[in-house]
Amino acid sequence: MPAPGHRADPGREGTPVSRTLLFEIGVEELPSSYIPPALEQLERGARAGLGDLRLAFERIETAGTPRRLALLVHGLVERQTDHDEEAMGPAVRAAWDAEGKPTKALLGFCQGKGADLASVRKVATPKGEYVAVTVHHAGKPAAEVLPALLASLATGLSFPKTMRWLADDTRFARPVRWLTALLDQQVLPVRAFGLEAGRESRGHRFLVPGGVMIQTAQYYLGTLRGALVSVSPRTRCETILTQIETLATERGGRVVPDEELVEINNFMVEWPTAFAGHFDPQYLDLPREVIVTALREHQRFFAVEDARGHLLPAFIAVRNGDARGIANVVKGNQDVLIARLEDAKFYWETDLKHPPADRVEQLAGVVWMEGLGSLREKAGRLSALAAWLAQRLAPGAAAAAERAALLCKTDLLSEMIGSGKEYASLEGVMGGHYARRAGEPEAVAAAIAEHYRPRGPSDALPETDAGVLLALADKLDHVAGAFVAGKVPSGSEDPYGVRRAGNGVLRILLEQERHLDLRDATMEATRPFFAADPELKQAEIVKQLGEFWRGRVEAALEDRGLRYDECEAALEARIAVFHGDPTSTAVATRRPGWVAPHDALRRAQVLSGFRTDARFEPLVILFKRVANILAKATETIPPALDRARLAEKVERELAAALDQARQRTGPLWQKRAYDEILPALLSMEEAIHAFFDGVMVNAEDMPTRLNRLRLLTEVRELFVRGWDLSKVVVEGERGQ
Amino acid sequence: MPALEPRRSLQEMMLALETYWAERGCVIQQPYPSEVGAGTFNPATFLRSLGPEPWRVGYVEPSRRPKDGRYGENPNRFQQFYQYQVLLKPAPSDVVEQYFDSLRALGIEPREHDLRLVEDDWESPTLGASGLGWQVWMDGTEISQFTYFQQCGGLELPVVSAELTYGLDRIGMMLQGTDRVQDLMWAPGITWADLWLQNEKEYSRYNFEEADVPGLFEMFRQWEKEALRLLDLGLVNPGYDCVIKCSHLFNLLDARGAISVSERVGYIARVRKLARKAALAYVKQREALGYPLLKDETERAKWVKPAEDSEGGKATRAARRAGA
Repeated sequence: MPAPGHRADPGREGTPVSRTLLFEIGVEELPSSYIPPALEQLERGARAGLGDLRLAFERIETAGTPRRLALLVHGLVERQTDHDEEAMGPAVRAAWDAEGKPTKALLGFCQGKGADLASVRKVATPKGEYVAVTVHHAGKPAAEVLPALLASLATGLSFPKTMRWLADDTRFARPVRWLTALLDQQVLPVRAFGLEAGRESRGHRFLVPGGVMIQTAQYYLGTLRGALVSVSPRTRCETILTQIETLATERGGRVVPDEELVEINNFMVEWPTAFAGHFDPQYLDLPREVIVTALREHQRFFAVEDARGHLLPAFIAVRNGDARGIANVVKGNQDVLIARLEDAKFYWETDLKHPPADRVEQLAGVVWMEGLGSLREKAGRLSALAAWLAQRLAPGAAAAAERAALLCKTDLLSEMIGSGKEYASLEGVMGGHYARRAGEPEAVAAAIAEHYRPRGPSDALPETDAGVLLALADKLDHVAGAFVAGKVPSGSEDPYGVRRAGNGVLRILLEQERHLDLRDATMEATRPFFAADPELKQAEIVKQLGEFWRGRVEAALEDRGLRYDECEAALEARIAVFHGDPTSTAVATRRPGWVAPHDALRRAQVLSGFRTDARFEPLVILFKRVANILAKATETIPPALDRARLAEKVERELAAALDQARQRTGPLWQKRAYDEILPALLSMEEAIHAFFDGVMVNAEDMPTRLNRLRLLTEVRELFVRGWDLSKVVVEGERGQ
Repeated sequence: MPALEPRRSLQEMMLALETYWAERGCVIQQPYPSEVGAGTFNPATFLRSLGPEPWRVGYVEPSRRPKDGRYGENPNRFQQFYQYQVLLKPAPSDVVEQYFDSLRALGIEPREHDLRLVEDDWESPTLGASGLGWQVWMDGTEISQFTYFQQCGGLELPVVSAELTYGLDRIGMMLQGTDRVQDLMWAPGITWADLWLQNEKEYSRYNFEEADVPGLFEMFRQWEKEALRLLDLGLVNPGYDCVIKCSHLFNLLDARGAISVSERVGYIARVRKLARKAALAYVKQREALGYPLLKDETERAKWVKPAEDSEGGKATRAARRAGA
C-alpha cells in the first residue's frame, strides 16, 4: 500500500509512468530457515525506504530460493514527488542587525538552504519570532535515488549467523556473488559486497549453468522459470504439495502432515521434483517416532501412512532438479535411509537388553546441571516431589508417578538417545517405549513418555495424571535447581531454558485447570537443595523464585489476552488459602494472588468481563479512595469493628451491605465462583458511595475515626480476597 | 582402458583429485606423519590458514576417529578413513563452481544426481576453529564438507580460506556402487579389506580394550607440558606437533571410556588452549619473517609495515586482527 500523500500527481506531467523494479541478491546456498525472514525484511525495508524517498508504488512482491533473494516493486512512479520543506532559521532579533542589515546568521542560513534573501518570512512561535523559508525540493528520477536504497537494503539484512568472505568486514549469511537490478529495462548500478549490479541473473546451478539475461524487470519470474528456477515460494510450495500427495496416493497412502517439513524442503530447492522410495517392512517393527525421526531429521523425507494411520514402508522426498537421473537419486536416498534405519534398529535392540530399572543406579554417573549433582539425585528428588504433588492434584496417580520419576531419565543412557544425535528429540518418548517393553505398568510408561511435555508454546500437554505430576515435578525441579545454581535467565538470555520450563508448568496448570500453590510447590522443590547445602542463601533464592514465578504468571495471563491492569489486580490480590477441611472457613491464610495461577486467571477473566458493567468504574474509583485513605492512615486500626459505635445511618448501612456481601460471597470463595462474587461485591457500590458522601472518615473524635477506618479496612479486605481494584485503570480516573 | 578411471579404484580417484587441484595452482602435499582426526589438523591447513599469506594446497589425509571403530564389521563405520583436503586462501569467488567441477573430474555428472549444499556451521572445539558453510549431499549422502574458515586457534582470520574436505571412502563407495567399505576397490584388484581389515580389527581392539589408560593420561600430561615449553621457545612446528598428539590422546581416552561427561569439557579446553598458543606463535613468527609467501607487492604493502613503523607502534593490522 502506498503511503498517503506520496502518490504521484497525475496532473503534473501528463500520464504517470508506472514502472517495475527488480532487485535480486544472488548468493551461495542460504540455510533454508534464513530465507523467509530475510524476504520479510526486504519487503519491510523497501516499504519504509520507498516511503522516505517519496516514491509511490502499487505493490511489493518478494520471492526467493536458497540462491537468491528477490524484490519486485510494481507500479512504481518514475520520479519522486516534489516536496516543500519548511525550514526554520535564526530568531528574528538575531537575523538583522541594528541597521536592518542581514546578519551572518541569516545569510548563512539562506546559503545553507539555497534560499533567496527575499523569500525569507517571519513566523511567530511560542518561543518568539523566527525567520523561515520554504525550500522546494524537485523530485528526482527514481533511477537516480534507487541504487543507494537497494544497496542499503541488501547490506542491512540481518541473519542469525553471518560470515566474512571479502578482504573487508562485509558480512552476510553466505557469500553474495551477483546483484541484478533493473527498473523496467534500465540497469540500476547498485554497488554492494564488492559487486555492481547488472542485467544478468543465473539459472539453476546444474540444469541451466551460466548467466541469464533479464530483458525487463516484469519478465523476471518468467525468465527464471525458463532457466529452471521457480523463484516464487508459493508456486514452489504448491508444486511440492501436489507432487508429494500424488506420489503418496499412488502408493495407497497419504503424507503424514508436517507443515514445517514442507517449508524446510521448499527453501532447499530451486526446482522441486518429488520422488518416492521404499524401505524393508522389517523396520516397521521400530517405534513409529523413531522411523519418522529417521526420515525427517536428517534426510528431510516425508513419512507415508495408510488410511488407518499406520506407517507404510515408503518415503517421499524432494530433489533440487528435474526428473533426469532420478533413478540414481532414489537409489542413493534409499541407501542412506537403510543405513540410518539400520543404526536405529541396532540402538533399539541393544537398548531393549537393558530395562530402565537396571539403569537407575548408573544415573549417578551423569551430571545433571553443573554443581547440582547427578541425574540419580534428580530422580530421587522427582520421586519425592511427584508424591507431594500427587497429594494435592491426583492422589490416585501417586504410585505410578513415583515409579516413573525414578525411571524417567534412564533413556539418556540408552544408545538411541545417547549416541544418535538425530534421535535426541525423542528423549522421554523412548523412555516410555523401553519401560513398556520392560513390563512396567502402562501408567508408568505413559508418564515417562509425557514428562517433557510441553516443550514449547504449541506442544501437546501431558494427558495422564501421572504424566502431569511428573511433568510438573520435572519442571519445578528444573526451575528451582537453576535458581539454586545461579543459572537464572536475564534479559533475552536463558541458556538453561528456565523460562520455558516455567511456562510449561503454567500451561499445564492454566489449560488443565489444575490448582496448585506455586509458593508451596517452590518451597517443596527447593527443600532438598537447601538440605544438601546449608551454605545456600535460602531467603534470597526463594525471593528470586517468587519474582520469577510472578513474572511468568503475569506473562501467561497477558498472553491470554488480559490487560495489564487486570492481571495486576488479580495477581496483587490477597487470596485466602484454606487448610484442612475444605468446608470450614475458619482456617485460612492470606497469600499473594499470583501463587495460584489458574485461580488468578479466572479472577482476571471475571474482572475483564465486568468492565462494561455500569457499577464497575465508579466502584474502582471508590475503592481507590478507600485504599488511599487507608494507606495514609497512620493510626493503629483496631482489630475489630465496634458496631455500637456506628452512629450514622450511612455507617450502619455500609456495615449491613458488607455483612450481606460477606454472607452472599461466603460459600462462593471456596467454590471459586468469581463470576458470582464480583457482582455481589459490586452491590456494595451504593453504600460505599453514600458513606463517603455522608460522613468524614477522619472525624475529630478518635474512637469514631478508628472505627470508620476499621469499617473501610473490612470492606477493602473483602475485595482483595479476589482483586486489588486499586490496580485497575479506568477512564473516569482522569478527573480525580 | 583409460589411463585414469576414477570409478575403478580409490587410488585413481585420489589421483584425479590431485591432478585437478594441481592444475588449479595447489601445492600437492602429502599426509602428515602424525595421527590426526581430520585433515584440518595438518599444519598445511591449521597453521597456513592463519595470517595474511595466500596459500593453496591439496592432500590426502588418513584420519583416525578411534570411537568409530567397529572391528571391521560395519559396512559404513571404521576408525581410519581417508579425506581429501583442499585449502584455498583466499577463497576464490568461483570456489563453489570449482568444487562441483572437481566432481565432474571424478566422473560425477551433477545433472544425473541430486547435489546440494546443506547448511552446516562447522566447528572444531579442540582447534578453536570454526566457519560457515555446508555439507555437500549427493543423493542424500554427505560426501564433502565445505567451510569458509572464520576462526582458527581462537583467532579471527584476516583472510578467509575455503576448506573443502572430501569423504574419499564414501565417494568411492558411491562411484563404485558398493554398499560395503570392505568391497571398495583400492587399486585395481586390491580391495579395502585386503589392505585395512586387519588394521581395523587390531585398532578397534586397541582403542576400545587394550589402550593403557593410565599411560595415556600420563602421555597427555607430558605432551601438554612439552607443547607449552616448545611454544614458549618459539619452536612453532615441534610445539604444534605436541598439540596434535594431545588431541589424538584425548580421542583415544574418550574411545576407551576413560573420560567422563563432565571431564570432557575440561580436556577439550586444555587442547584448545594449546592450539591457540600455537596459532599465536605461528602468527608472530610469520610476521617476523616478513610473510615470505606474500609475493604480490601490493598485497605485501598492506601487511608489511616499514621497519621504523613496526618498531614504534606494534599495532600492525595483523596483530590487531589476531586479537592481540
